[in-house]
Amino acid sequence: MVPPIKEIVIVGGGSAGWMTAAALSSLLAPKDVTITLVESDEIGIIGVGEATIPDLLNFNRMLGIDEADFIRATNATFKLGIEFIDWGRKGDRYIHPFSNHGVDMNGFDFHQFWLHSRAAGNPYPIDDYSLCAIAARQGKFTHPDPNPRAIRSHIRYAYHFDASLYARYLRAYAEKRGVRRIEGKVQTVIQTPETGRIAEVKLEDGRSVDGEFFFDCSGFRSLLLGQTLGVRFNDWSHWLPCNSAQAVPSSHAGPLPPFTRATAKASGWQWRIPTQARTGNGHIYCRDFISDDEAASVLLAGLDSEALASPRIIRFTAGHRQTFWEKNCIAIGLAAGFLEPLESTSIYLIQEGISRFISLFPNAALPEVFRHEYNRHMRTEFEQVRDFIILHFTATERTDSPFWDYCRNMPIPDSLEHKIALFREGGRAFRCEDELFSRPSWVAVFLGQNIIPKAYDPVVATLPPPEVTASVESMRVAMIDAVSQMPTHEDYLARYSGPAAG
Amino acid sequence: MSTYLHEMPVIHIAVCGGGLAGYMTAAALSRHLPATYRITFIVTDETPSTDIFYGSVTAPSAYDFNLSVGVSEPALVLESNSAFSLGTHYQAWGEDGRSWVQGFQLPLPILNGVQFHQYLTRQGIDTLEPYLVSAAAAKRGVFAHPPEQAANPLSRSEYGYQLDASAYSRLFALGIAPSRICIIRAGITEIQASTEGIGALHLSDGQRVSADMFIDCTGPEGLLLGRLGARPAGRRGLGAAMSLTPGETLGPAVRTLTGRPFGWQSITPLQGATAKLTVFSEEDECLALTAHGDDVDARANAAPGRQAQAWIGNCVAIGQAAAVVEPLTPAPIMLLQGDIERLISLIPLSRDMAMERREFNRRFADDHEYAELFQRALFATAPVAPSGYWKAAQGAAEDTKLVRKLTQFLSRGSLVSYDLEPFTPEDWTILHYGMGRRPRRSDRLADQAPEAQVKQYLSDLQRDIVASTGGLPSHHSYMSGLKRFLLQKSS
Repeated sequence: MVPPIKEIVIVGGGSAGWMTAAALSSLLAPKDVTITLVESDEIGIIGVGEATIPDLLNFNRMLGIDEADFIRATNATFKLGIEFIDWGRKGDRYIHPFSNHGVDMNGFDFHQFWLHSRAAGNPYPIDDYSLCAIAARQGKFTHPDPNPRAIRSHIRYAYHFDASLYARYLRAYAEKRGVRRIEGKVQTVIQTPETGRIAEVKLEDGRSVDGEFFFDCSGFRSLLLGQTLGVRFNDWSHWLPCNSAQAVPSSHAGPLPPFTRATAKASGWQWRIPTQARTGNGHIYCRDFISDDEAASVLLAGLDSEALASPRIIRFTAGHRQTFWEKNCIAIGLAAGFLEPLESTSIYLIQEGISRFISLFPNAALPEVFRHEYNRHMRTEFEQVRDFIILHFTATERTDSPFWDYCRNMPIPDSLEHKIALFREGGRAFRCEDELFSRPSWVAVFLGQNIIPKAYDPVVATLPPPEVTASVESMRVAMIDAVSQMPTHEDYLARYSGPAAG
Repeated sequence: MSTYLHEMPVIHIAVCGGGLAGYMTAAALSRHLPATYRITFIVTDETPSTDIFYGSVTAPSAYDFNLSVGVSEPALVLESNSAFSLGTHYQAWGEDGRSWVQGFQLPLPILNGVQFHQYLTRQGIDTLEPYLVSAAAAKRGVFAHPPEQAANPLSRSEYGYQLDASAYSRLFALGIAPSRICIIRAGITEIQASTEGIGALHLSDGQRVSADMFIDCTGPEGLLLGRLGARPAGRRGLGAAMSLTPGETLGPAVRTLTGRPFGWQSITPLQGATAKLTVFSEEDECLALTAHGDDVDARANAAPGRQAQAWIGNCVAIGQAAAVVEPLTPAPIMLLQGDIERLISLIPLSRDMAMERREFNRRFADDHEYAELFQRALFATAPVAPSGYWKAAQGAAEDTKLVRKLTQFLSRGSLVSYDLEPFTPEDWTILHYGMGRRPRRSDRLADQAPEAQVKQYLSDLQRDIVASTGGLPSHHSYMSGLKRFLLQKSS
């Protein structure tokens, strides 16, 4: 029998490193496997205000983390969706909510009924049928009702939090469960000559750390997977041309919004992420179209209130490593790939990288079949998220800058072209193989960015318009009513978790 | 602004074939599509013998599907020999001769966020069946519609139907909206096709039918799709023989399926008869037919497998014309329903159907792959030596998705599930237990509940199931009562 893996080494801390350490330590007993994490306090951690999607709840639940405790420790706020401003056209505004729009009826998608009622004169945008979107606009929040018949059971939510505090929180969690942390900077990586597998990492102070399986959480440098094992980068910048970001915190301006905001700018876009302590802001742009200095002024001009520091520049290229798992090493987080955080997927891709490894947990022989499945799966995840992000740039009528001219005219992946065509022709949207963003998300962005179907479903079309209009309207009213009974986000947060760590 | 119906082009659809696939498709199209779709149904064969490969059971999803195409449950009970089905009782399955009831079941309880079976593992309990209400009712031979009250354990059961394909397909003939469809009974003498697709069909009565779109319901032969270049998909030839034995008393609401060296045999109680189906590998035909005995009412051969593309040009294959599925589980009718629902959801909006075709083929491949995964899991066991049937069934290449499902369940009892799988996590849990797979250890979260509380919960549940199924009528007397009630109501 092949023995199990006994020594795991994680290179790099940050969200990626500590999420990996925490997840592994929650499942593995220290007597069976040793987990060592090497990180250097000198190397900065990227990302301050981080926005997430509801999947993070599963991750925290798997670790057995108490939610209120987590919220206090990470300065977290609740998030019901993302507001997009100026994307399809200047002046446009829509919310991509975490909850569905309306309720599907008789096996037909709600948006088909909405399209039917729209043709008969219904003036309300589809946002007005999403509980999360309505609550977000009104600054309200509450947890979902456990009773599946209650309207408020439709709420789905995620968090905004401080990523470095989250890493610190998970570090405490992991260390309590036996993860050994070594402070040090990796100088060289030693491979076993016969197999090419990574054998050990040597630190600047001369110590060495050996292991059987390595996680590369070294960030953009991709120290193990990229630099040592030579796995090449698959560049997607022709589809996602943004290659720089500047981030700056600002003070709060008014009540805490329970949503992320993404505002399209002339040569990129700007995020606004509220944590309990302050508001995180960032301008993501393409340097081919705008200088760093100009980008900084765009960022600062777009703040709701005063900046609390000067902007920090980050450079990146959209894309991913051609394989995520090579030999005895898996890259997690930025070492694996980068997609701009337009749909808050960074933490999700980390989480998925970890949980897919756990579900394939190999023995020491590292069967190739598991490695191939892992790589196939992660590649699909990246591609699916990529398509969804490209949609925001391609579905635009903006002609006010060379950047948007490029986006409007760039060729897009065939998979995305097909999805857009299906929706444009008949409002059809179907889920593809386990994709993260399911039908309601696609519908929100399609409609929010003015891809209005030429026809709606012919089966739904046979229904009498007054009946359809009445049932669609009753949903809208019921949602508004449910939201009116919800507390404000700030009140709820204060009551639920008490004061934050500061 | 969205297009109104009166602006849409008229599209002529010709459904060609017959049997279960033909009648179900014709009923669904005639019920769902607006008048801008003209529908012709060319019936080439009322009751093809290959329909016995659809098997004799449906999943619980049949209720909603049937209703949506105009076939209500009262009609099904009164106008066909169909009966209720709580599942399949597998017997002498595989080398270890496993026996279990694969019952239809609503999601099992989740306690403190942990799945039910994790508590069994933690308590060292080896059997799942005493906690399954469908299995208990099936074994007792009793039946009743699941009640609404959540407190009654019977509310967790679900049911499908037991049927014989020829009577079942006649129900769908009744479901057809007659004003919406033109029916022609004739054979096909010639298929006119080009690289674009099918142009017209020449029929034995001298007519020529041209259409914008053709639906191939001609069974495993796939006459229309074949004309566009599709090749027979299956490799391993299977034979099947079916007979109906009349009988006054309706047997239990469960199909019994017994493993045999040549394949398997099932007994399905119906109203007024019992259906016996024997499925075997072709080389064991003599052995199998001897074992089948009786007079054979229907006999057919087919090779399980699916087309790479079920929609080519302007022709969509539905049911066996697209894929032959061994009727080991309710998968064949489930997939047939799925084919039809997929077609309705992608009915072309114009004569250019490239977009719909691509999406249909993608979803077709997914649906069938996941159904096959479940069927294949029935062979993930030591082979029955020396059996040609078993060797061939297991010969299929190792599937990474199935390996993941099995290894994950064995290591921690985790249920890996893929998107939109037709079989539910409960189906998989019951199958794993039935086939003797037990998790090596439980989820750590299951350890958090106090032991005494878990023990109490499990024994209460078992007691409630015994109590609630004990008071139920037999399937036979429930059915008689139901029919009396329905007849009184309608008179």
